[in-house]
Amino acid sequence: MPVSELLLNLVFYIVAAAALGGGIAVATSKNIVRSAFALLTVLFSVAALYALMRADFIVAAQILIYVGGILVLIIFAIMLTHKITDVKLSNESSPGPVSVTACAVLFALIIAAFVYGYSWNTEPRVVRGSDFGKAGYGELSMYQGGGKTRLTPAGTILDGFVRLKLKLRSQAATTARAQFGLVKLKKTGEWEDLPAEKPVRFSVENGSYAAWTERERLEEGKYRWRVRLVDEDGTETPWAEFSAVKGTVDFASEKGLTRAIGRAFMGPYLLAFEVVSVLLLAALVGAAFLARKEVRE
Amino acid sequence: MIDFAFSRHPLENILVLSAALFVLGIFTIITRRNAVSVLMGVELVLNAANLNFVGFSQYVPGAGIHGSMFSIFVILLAAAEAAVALAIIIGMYQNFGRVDVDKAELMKE
Amino acid sequence: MGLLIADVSLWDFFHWDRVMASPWWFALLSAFIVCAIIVNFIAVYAGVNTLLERKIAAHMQARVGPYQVGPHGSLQWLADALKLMVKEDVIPTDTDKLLFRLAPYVVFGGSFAAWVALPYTIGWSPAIMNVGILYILAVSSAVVIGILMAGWSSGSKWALFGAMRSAAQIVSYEVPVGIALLGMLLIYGTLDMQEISAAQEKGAPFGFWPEWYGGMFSWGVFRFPPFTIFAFLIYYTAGLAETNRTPFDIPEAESELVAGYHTEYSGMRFSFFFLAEYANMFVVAAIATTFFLGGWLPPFGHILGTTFLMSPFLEGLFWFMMKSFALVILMMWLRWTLPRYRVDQLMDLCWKRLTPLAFLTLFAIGAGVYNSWLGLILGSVVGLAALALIGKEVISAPPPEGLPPVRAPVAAK
Repeated sequence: MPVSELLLNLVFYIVAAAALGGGIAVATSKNIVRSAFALLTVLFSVAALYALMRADFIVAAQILIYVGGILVLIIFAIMLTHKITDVKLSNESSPGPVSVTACAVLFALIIAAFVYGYSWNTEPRVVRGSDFGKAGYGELSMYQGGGKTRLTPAGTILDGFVRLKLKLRSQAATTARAQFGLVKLKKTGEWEDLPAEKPVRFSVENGSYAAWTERERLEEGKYRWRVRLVDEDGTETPWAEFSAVKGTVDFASEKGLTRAIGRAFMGPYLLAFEVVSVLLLAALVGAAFLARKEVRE
Repeated sequence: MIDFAFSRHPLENILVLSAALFVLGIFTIITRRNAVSVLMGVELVLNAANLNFVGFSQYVPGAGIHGSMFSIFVILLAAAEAAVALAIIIGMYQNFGRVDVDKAELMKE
Repeated sequence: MGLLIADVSLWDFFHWDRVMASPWWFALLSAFIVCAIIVNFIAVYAGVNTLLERKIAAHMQARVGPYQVGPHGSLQWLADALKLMVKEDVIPTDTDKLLFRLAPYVVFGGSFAAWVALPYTIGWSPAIMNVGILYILAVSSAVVIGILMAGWSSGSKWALFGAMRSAAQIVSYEVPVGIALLGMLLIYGTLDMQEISAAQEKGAPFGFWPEWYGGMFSWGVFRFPPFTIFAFLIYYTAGLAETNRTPFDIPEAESELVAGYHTEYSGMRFSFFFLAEYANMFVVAAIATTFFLGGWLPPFGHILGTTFLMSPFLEGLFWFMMKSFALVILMMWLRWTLPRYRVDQLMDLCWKRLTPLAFLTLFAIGAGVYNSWLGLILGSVVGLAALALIGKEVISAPPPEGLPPVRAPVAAK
C-alpha cells in the first residue's frame, strides 16, 4: 500500500476506535454523566467519518444538531432528573447473558447479510458505447473520487476528481491508443472543447483492453467526454462525443454536497422539507407543554 | 489483511462499523434502566443508520445523494424526537420522583 | 526564495493545494506547525487582551489601571500568566475528577477549532472548506458541552446553576446568530469564508452594479441598507451574548454566582477558560469582519501588494486583524459602559426581540436579492422609518432627573 493511503487509513481506524470506545462506554458505564460525555465522543467521531466520506454538509449538520442541540438537551435532562446531592449518578443496567448473546447474534446476522446477500459488483454499469469503426465497439465507464470510489455518469462528481475507462474487446486495441478530451459548457450556453491530452495505451484487464484517464481539480460546471482512437501510423478515428441524452457521460463537477442538497430540498424533497418543518414546530410546542410545571391550586 | 483497508474497500469498513454501533445501541436500549440512557441508545442506533445511508450514498455507483438527504431528515427527526422524549422523561420525574423504566408501570387512574 | 524542504518551498504554506499534494509527512508537519502557531498566538493574544481590558476599564473609570510591572504596566499580563501557572492545582474532593480535568480542554478545543477556518488573508486560511461558516458554528457548540461538563463536575450548586444558565443563554442566542448570518449568505451565495471575503471587493448597494469597485461601500454591511446593518447589529449583539460578555454575563457575574461555572477552577485550568473566552470573542469579531466588514479587504483601493506592505498576503492579514481587533475593543468598551441584564430580560431580548427582527431581516434581504428595485424600495421605507424613530429619540427631552415617584403601596389581600 503506498504511503499516501497510510494517513487516510490511520485516521479512519483511529476515529473508528474512538466511536466504538465511546459506544461501549455509553452502553456499559456505571456513571450516567460519563455515558453522556461518551456519547459526545461518538457523535464527534461519526462527524469525522462523514468528513472522511466527503459528505461535508452532513458533518456540520451532525455537529450543530446532535452535539449542539440533542446532547445539550440530554445533559440538561440528566441534571434535572437527579437530586443535586448525588455526585456520582449511578446508572444501573441489567446485562444478562441473554442480552449479550442476542446482540452478538444480531451483529453476526447483519454482517452475514451484507457479505453474502449483496452481489458486490465492482464494475460500474456501462453507460455508453460507441462504434470505433475497425476497432470495434468500445464501452465507457466513469469513476469519481480521490481514490477508489465509483460513480456512474450523469451524476455529480465532488472535489473535481474523475477517472474514465474505455474498454475495447478487439485486437485493434493493441496497436491503437486512446485519446481523451473534455468538453465544457460555457456560461453562454455553448460547448467548448478543452485541450485533449496525449494518447494513452491500452492495458489488458480481464480479457479485454482498457485505457484509463484521470482529471483532477476540475472546476465547477458541466462537462462531457469525447474519445477517439489514434493508430500507430497516426490515423485517427473521428471524435466520439457523448451527447446529453439519458445515461450518457455528461457530468457536473461540484465542490461539496451543499449545492446538491439545496437543489434537492427545493426539488424532489420539497414536500418532505415542509412537513418536517411543521413536525419540528409541533415537537417544539409539545415538548414545552409536556415539561411545564403543573400549577397546583 | 491489508486488502480490507479503508482506502481499498471503504463501503465494507463503514458498514461493519455502523453494524457495530447499531448493536451497541440496541444493547444500551435493552439493558439500561435509566430512561435517559435508553434515549442515548436510541441516538446511537440512529447514528449507525445514518452512517449506513451516507456510506451507500457516497460509495455506490449511481446512488446519487438520496442517502445523504435521508440522513439529513433522520438527523432532524432525531432532534424532534429527543426533545419530546426528554420532555416526557422530565414529566415522569416530576410525577414519580424517579426515571427508572422498570418501575414506571403505573397508568393514570 | 525561502527554505526548501523536499522540493516544496516554505512559501508554499500559502498555497495549500501544493501542500496537500506533497508527501503525507509534509502535510502533517505543516498542519502541526500551523496549529502550533495559532495556539501560541491565541495564548499571547489572550494575555495581552487581559491587560488591554484592564487598561480600557481604568481609563473609562478615570484611573490608570495596572502601572507597576513594566512601562505603564504593559507587562502585567506576563505577571498574571506566571502567577496562574505556578498556582496550586486544587481539585475539590467530591467531584468527578476525570470530567473536572477534561472540561477546560473541551471548552478551549471548541474555541480553537474555530480559529482554523477563519479567512486571515487573501488566498490563504489554515483550512479552506466549502462549508466554512457552518463548520465554525458547529464546533462552537462544543463550548456548551464543555461548560456543562465544568459546571457539573465542580460539585457545587453555584457552578451548576451558572453552567446551566450559560448553556441556555448560548444555545438560545445561536438562533439570532444563525438567522442574521443566513440573511448575508443569501447575498453571497456560498458558505466558503474566503469567497465571502472576496465577494465584497466589488458590488454596489442593492446589487445594482456588480462590477463596481466601491472600496468600503462594497462591503457586506452596505449591500442592502438598512437590513444588512440590522443583521450586523443583531449578529454582534447575539455574538456578545454567546461569549458571555457584559451586558450578558449573568453566568459569570461576580455579584450573583461567585464566578459561575468556573468557580472551583484555579491556576492553569482557570486560565484555559479565560483563554477560551477571549478566543471566542475574537472568533465572533472575525466572523463579523468577514461577513460585514469586508474580511481582508482594505477600505479603499484593491489589494495590490503595493499599497504599503510588501505582499498581498501581509496586507490582507493586516486589514483582517485590524478590523477584528477594532470589534474586540468595541466589545470591551461595551462591557465597561452597560449594566448587566437580568436573566429573564436576557431571554426576552433573545426570543422576543432579536429573533423576530432577524427573521424580518432575512425576508427583506431575500426580497432584495430577488429584485434590486424591490430591495431599494423596502430599504428606503424601512430605513427612513428607522431614522425617524432614532431621530425622535435623539431630539426628545431626556427623562427627568432623580428617582421615579414612589407608588403608594398596594394593600395586601
